[in-house]
Amino acid sequence: MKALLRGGLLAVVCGLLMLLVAGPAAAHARLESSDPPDGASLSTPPSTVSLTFNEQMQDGFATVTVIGPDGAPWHDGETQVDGNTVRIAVKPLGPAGVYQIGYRVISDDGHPITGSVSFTLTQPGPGTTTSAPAPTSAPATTAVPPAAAPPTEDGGTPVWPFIVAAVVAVAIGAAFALRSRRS
Amino acid sequence: MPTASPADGARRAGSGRLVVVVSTPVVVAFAASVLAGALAATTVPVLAGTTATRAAMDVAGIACVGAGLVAALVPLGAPGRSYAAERAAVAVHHRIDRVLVVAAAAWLVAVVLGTAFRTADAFGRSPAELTGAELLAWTTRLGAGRGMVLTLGCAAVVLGCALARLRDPALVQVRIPLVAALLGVLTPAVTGHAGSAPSHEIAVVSVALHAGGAALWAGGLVGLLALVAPHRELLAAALPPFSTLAGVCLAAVAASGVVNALVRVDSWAALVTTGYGWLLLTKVAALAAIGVFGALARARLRAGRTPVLRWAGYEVGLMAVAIGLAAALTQSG
Repeated sequence: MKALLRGGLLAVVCGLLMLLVAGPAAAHARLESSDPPDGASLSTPPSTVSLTFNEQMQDGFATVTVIGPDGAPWHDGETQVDGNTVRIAVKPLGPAGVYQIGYRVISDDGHPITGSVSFTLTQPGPGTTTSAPAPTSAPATTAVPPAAAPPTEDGGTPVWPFIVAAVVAVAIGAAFALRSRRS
Repeated sequence: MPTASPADGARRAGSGRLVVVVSTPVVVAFAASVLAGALAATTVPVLAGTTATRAAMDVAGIACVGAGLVAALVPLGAPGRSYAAERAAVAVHHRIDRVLVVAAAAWLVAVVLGTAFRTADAFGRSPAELTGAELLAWTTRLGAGRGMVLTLGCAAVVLGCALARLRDPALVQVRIPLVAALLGVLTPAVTGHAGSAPSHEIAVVSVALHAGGAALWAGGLVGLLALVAPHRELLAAALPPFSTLAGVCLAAVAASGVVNALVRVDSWAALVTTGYGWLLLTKVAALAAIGVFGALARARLRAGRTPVLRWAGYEVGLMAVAIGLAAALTQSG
């Protein structure tokens, strides 16, 4: 019993030590602020939008989109990550109305966090998109979080064959160890 | 190995029940995740993958903890033991080592698959399209990923120790795989939700207590039922210390669960308005019922009445449900 308790205690202590190594930020990412702020009315269109979270963002995991009142994407280029902030450039905006900034980022605990904020452009800008506008009388109020992160690697080979091979190797190894002992 | 045929029959019935116990958390975890609305940010196959592998990880890890704990509760060469009981203890230890090999191998597989599914979830694509670079980024740059790597290491240590013990039990003390298994069970808990920013240290300590206590308790109970129950003399010697340990674990699990809930849930209303809150309430109910069954089993044990095992069996069933719910909680928004 005493040895058992000592073992358990040791495990807890090791776990806590491990925590110090793993770093303190093990929480869900939350959106703290945005530029432009949620619900803002702007007369001049922004050239970039940025979102600031409560924890360090990871490059390559974050996606931001800007969807206009016409349902067309107005963001431009790649999502940039800088500390707790992710930002993306915006094309010269076109029609007046509500623009949705959708985001999809990864918490340090590995969970994807999606959401959106919006701003209203009061004066039409000079920009046009190539896609045919689909005019709707009511502005889009539903959140349009980006579905997926952009592909990070061009020449990346799928990793699943290696995973399958590892799983099969472990299974065969364990079966072999048990079988050889039984005889 | 000289085993009587009734024991063989009982063992076969027992292994059927064990399959049910082992698969329950996986099913419960997926159903609860869907009900709690975890599909908002994830597709169905990926959600099935993340919750099922998480539940499988927990089950395999707890099986390793339980097997190691049983080995510690039934030490070889205990004083005052009959010759038959000592021989039974040797057989139990041999089976423990075999169980450890199977459970640790399953744990390794579950961790590898879980890492793949959670990376796929993070990048928002199907696991078939994942690249090695993405897997590397997820496992090295995120706390959750580093936690999975640590768990992988712990499972590998347990597997290595079990393989060495199969060859010669004197090579490795059974305490080593027990500690490694506990560490591996704690890791995904502390690198998971573990507390929103403000009181995160408290959340991390209490979630470690929660996972460790639950693993020792559930694993030990299942291990005793599956491995030691047929040998009355060994069981009689192992149950009193386990019963004490289970009481301590119940207290630790309940207290740390409350602390975690206070840290995670913003208001009383959130208990009934959010999916997370509902899962939490279900877990509280499960814990209360498990405690009642455990107390009944203990009272019967004290009174020397036999159907201790049936109550303990109900307790195990409820634990399987609670563990599944826990897995759903870890993967919920």
